Amino acid sequence: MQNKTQRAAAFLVSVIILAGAGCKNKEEGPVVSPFTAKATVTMQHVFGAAPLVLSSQWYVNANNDSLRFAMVKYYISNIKLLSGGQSFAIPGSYFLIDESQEASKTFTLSGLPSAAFDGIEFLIGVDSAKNAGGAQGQTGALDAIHNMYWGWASGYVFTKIEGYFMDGSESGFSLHVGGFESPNNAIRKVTLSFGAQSLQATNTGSDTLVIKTDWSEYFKNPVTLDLKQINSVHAPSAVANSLADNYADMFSFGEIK
Amino acid sequence: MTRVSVLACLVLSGIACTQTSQPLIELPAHFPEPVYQFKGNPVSQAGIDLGKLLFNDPLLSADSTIACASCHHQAFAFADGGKALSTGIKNQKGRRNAPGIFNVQWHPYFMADGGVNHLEVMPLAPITDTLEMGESIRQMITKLRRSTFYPAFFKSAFGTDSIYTRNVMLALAQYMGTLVSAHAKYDDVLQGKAKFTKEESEGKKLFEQHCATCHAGVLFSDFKFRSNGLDTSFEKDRGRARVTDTKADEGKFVTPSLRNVALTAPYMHDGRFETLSRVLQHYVHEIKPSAATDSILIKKKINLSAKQQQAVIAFLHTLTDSAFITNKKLVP
Ligand code: HEC
Ligand code: HEC
Repeated sequence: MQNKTQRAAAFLVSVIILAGAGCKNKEEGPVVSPFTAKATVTMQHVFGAAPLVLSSQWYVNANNDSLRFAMVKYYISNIKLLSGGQSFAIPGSYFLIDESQEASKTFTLSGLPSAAFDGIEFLIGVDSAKNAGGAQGQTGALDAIHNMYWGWASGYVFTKIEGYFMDGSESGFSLHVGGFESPNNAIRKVTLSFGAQSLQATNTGSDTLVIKTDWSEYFKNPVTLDLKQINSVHAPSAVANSLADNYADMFSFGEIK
Repeated sequence: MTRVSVLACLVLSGIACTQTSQPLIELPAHFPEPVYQFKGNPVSQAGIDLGKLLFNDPLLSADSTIACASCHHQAFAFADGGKALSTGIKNQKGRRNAPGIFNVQWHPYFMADGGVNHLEVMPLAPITDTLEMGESIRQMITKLRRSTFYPAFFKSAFGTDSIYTRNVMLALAQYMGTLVSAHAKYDDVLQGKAKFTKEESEGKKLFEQHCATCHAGVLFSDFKFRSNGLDTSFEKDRGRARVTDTKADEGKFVTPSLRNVALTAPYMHDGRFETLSRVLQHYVHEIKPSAATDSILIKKKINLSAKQQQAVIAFLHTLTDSAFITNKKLVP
């Protein structure tokens, strides 16, 4: 097994050799990576110790409210893989994860140098350039067809959770968080280390990084969310911002398979 | 080469620039640089035609009853002909007064609260607004794909008959870009082609003294968020704060352009004033002081006699662009 310094050196060499080969697809087109290796990512959704299951499964949050989920959708984007202190930004990495679409929870990172990576960095949400850049970048995961875009306050909804909680009887909640402009910038950055393991990018993408996403974190730290008080958020706002602070730490490294 | 044809070449990038044909999108010589210059969205006649078709097609609404053009009529400079609030699908009343649509490529943002940040995404707001067209983008795209004629239109505009949100938006942006209004009497006078009457001249002078700080330049807007003292509480419409959730923005609305203003009654974000004389009465007698009210209006009271108010209104009528509202190319 390589140590960190060797890994960084190998990584740097491969990046330097291919630097300059990074080409643009026409003038304004997306950047195409000169690299061809791949890796796979799987998002594993849990609520505390239990797996996240839509509709039927009830959970108890930090405020002692019983709740169940009808929808869990979110963007992760601007993914960088880390290697011994260096980072490799993956061009055009925008992924929409939808708990109701099993296939969306596993995706391929492509255009990677064939290196071993020891960490990952990404945004929860979508960068401000895409939020402010008009319709030209609205393709793939960023197509407004996915109903993750606010027409009246231009910009993507970064995370959308909907469901029901017990307030005497069953009552609905619908929490949509987005906003990319100060003071209500809800973009959050996540950095995860793979500890002693490493993710090897290969031409088959056989290594799979499992990222665990614990939705119980959405409801606590720093603010314990009381669904009886706050159950409807649909705009960039101070409240949306504090929910983003809550869920910023819900991602953790699971394993490399 | 004039600036107009330079832009034509720019927007037609790729197409040879040797012939001196009419530009597809006018860039009036006396206007500043547009904010949106169709970068990455090269304008073509096919793109404009497609945008025009989409703008006039009720298919874009949930029950296929409401088109963009249902609320934006050419005869009223693309405002909603006398209605304070527009009617959307299922006979629902909207939240705000529909403004005219023209010179949109000079706007840094759209809507009375500036909530829409780019011309290309402007259509997403009315299409998905449950009170307006109430349609999901997915369903709209499905309907367009099913159509017998749209694929061919997309093919000639964008080289592909696959229909995606992006190209729907780009075509609408191209069409809206053709709605340039720059040939009012005011423009003719500016270019030495006409003369103001004595009353209009007097009105212009007063306008420059009292109104032009906010309704500034040839576009008649500084595009800043301000309160012109209509209200002291803003629960009904928070204005800019609806988008920013920021206290300092409560009750502030973007300064609207006053071009074609004689055609776009009623006035203000909620259409509360039916006539221009009612608007002048507001500025002269009814400015309400609040934390939001612009200091310009507090520091220097607008003191105009009835006759002077009449003169300002006469000047505002010189901003009416009859060529624009009768140009047959702008409608199907
Ligand atoms: C039901 C009526 C209605 C329909 C349908 C409608 N609009 Fe509008 N439009 C409005 C209203 C009302 C506003 C002002 C909203 C605000 O300020 O919040 C507006 C504002 C606009 C503006 C902003 C102008 C400015 O100066 O900020 C543009 C551009 C526009 N609409 C284009 C469109 C397009 C394109 C469509 C079709 C996809 C459309 N509208 C459909 C009522 C409508
Ligand atoms: C301090 C900035 C400011 C000044 C000065 C000012 N306005 Fe305005 N004006 C605004 C704003 C902001 C609005 C939009 C208010 C709203 O919709 O709530 C507006 C709206 C209007 C409208 C309504 C336009 C429409 O389409 O609904 C008219 C007409 C108008 N102003 C005329 C004038 C005249 C005439 C003067 C001078 C006597 C004047 N304004 C001075 C800021 C200003």
